[in-house]
Amino acid sequence: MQIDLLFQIAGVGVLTTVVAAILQRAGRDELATLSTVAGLAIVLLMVISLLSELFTSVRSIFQLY
Amino acid sequence: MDVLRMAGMSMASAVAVILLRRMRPEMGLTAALAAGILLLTMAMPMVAQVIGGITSIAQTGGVKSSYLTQLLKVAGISLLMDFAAQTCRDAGEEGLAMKTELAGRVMLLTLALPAMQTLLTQLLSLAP
Repeated sequence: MQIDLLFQIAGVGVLTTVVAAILQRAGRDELATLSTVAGLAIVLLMVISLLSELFTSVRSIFQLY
Repeated sequence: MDVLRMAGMSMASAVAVILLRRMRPEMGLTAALAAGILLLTMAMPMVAQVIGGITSIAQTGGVKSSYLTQLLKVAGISLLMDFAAQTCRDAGEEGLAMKTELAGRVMLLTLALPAMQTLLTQLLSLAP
């Protein structure tokens, strides 16, 4: 079902790590931390969209208004 | 069948989380959270069926529906609070997890208060 979403998140995580490692190797440490933060933000946005979907379905099932 | 999908997915996400946790701890946590959310969303339709069945049985059994919605609310709150507490524990924040559980218990108590009051009044009315 949404298993690819999970692998997208893993992909973004791996990509940000690689980019941060490359930037660190190139001597730009602040850019490396920036790219890590950016990658984390993207992943968090995906997770938040999943979370809102789960919360709406839980709210409707358990009548938690 | 659904169980194969769920089992396969949880194993695949465990591998993904381990990979990410070694490289980036915070990524590992978000991946674990996403996997948990996906699993719960996959389980929700079945939970809905079970709850539908229970409510129909309770209605035929004559149980007042307000008590049933109270019960469902209690189940929902404990599910969500436990999910949040386990995520905090997964992140290593034991104190935060305990506080979330405390908040959940307080919410359950406030939910159970009216039921207790009605019970008490009925009991007192029985007494001569």
